Amino acid sequence: MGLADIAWGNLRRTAGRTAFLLLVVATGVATVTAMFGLTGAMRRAVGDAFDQIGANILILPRADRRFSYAGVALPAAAVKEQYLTEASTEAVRSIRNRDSIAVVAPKLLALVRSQDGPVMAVGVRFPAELRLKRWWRIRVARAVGGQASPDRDTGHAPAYPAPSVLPTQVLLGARVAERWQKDVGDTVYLDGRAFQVAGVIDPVGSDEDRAVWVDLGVLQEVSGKTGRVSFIEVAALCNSCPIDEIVSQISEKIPGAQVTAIKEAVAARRAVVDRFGRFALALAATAAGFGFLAVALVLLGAVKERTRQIGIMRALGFGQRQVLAVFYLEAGLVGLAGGAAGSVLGGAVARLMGPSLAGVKLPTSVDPLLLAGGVAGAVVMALLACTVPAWQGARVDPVRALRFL
Amino acid sequence: MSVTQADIPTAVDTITRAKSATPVEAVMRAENLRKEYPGGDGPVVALRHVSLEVRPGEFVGVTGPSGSGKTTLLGILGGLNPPTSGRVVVDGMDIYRLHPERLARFRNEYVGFVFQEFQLIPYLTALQNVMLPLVAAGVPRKRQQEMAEEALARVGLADRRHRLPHQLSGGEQQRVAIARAVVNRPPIVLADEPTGALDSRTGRQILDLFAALNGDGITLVMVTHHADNLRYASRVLSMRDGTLAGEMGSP
Repeated sequence: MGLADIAWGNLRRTAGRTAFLLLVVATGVATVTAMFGLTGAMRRAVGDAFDQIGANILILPRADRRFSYAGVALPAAAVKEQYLTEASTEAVRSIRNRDSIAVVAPKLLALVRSQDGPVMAVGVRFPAELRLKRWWRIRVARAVGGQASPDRDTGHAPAYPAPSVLPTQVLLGARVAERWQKDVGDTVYLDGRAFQVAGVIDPVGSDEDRAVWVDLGVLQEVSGKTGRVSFIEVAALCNSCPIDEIVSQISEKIPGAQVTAIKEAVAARRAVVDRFGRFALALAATAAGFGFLAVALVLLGAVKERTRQIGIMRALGFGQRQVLAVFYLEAGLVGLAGGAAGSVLGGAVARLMGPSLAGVKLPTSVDPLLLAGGVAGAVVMALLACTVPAWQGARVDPVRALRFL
Repeated sequence: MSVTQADIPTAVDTITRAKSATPVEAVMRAENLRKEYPGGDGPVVALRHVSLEVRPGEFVGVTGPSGSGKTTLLGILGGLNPPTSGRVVVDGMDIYRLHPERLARFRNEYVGFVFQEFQLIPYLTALQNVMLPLVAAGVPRKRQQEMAEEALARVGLADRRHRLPHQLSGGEQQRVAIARAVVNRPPIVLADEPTGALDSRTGRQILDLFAALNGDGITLVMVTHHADNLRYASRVLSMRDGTLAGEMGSP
């Protein structure tokens, strides 16, 4: 027999109290685990979904005069003489933190002739552009056996995987389509060249509604600006790195460019996560605090109840340290079992409630680090909560406990 | 009971020394003990000017009316209750000068306690209760089991070793307590009214057991206010109002 057997024996004897302690610890740990799990998942989601949020870095040619496109200040030269080269796109991909770059979307802006007068054409690489603009809802032809339906049966393309747009096709902004009375499958003419309308973008309430979206290479060719781009939008996953650092690295790679960070979208999303994080922390701290107090009070009551037993042990030669050890072992066992149960429960709650509560989906397997952290935290909390009761127990006067007066 | 020197060396050494010593060498010596407890109208004196020696192999009975200081004296002798003044010397040690952890070890190695109300731990079996002093001493598990089983066999409870205290009769519980007191062969066993919670027949069985243990060389100090019990003692100390009022041989 060892001290652990004495501790275990007492836990079994007071099964009701032990069950209550386990419940308190498990509930506290489950709350903390669930909250940390959700907050962690949200933070990861912010990082992982930066490409869904949109660009957070803008690369422009240096210029003094500016005008606006899509709420972004553009240099006047962007549509005249000053351009970036497509090589800049590769330069962005070569920075030290290139792993944090999710999307590089170069654009060429050009005024082109159409059947209804000049229109702003935006040359893009469609895969990158559509990955960047997940909020676009694009009406496309329904595919029938891999081919577009000939009877113009249309529907909204899913954001992922993005619809494919060929170099001979264009996407129309909502107001352009309305003005031209063109729909999916129709033919439009830009600078005399025919393009099929691959899709119509639902209104987004910005300059994008008044633009025609063309393949970058085609627009460069049509407008005689081969190899040139007006600006580059970049989506960086800067969950683990400061965006300013990425901006600085891009500036070094493209000396003639003006690189600016668009922080608002990121900051707004991050602010939401931070607010949830603070709420989660407060809730977790409250749960842990209540758990701590409950364990401490229950154990304190248990010391009074066990005064005689402690007196017997002291009379038989148990030192104060051994009595302390028995209390700490009991608390440790409760912390271990309650912590394990709470961690698993918290992980399950986080997975179940993640989508509805925080808009994130958690992986189905429990993060072993979170599990280990929950168990370790519970053990530490139980041991701390046990400190005062354990010392009270160790200081029991055997003479009084055994009425040896 | 076959206890090897390796198991509990200090206690066995002491027994060996005690048995080989001259008859006048005491196992335990109390010198000029005084004990005061705080009271509403100033300190209450429970013991005064108490000096005594317990020699190896003795069965000392301590008697006296309630409140005469018998139990207080037993607590002081056992290292549980420090005197206000005076000292208790065992094996050359002034026990109340020891560090509290060392004093606990002293109780474990030198003293076995038997209480009036048995004081068994309710959620441990008879065997586990007997093992308790060995757990405190850090005796290996296997040896604990062997020693506890031997001690239980000695008090006639080998077949009840897996019973919980509430599954045993009062007499059986007291025998478990006695097995616990002697399991690590302490030089001296202190018993406080060991028959107080038992009927007279069971009480006699317990006293017979004490006599048998004493016959095996265990030194006993027993507090009792039953005159009948004193016939088992080789020496009787009589207390009154916190002082030793007299001493006599076996009545």
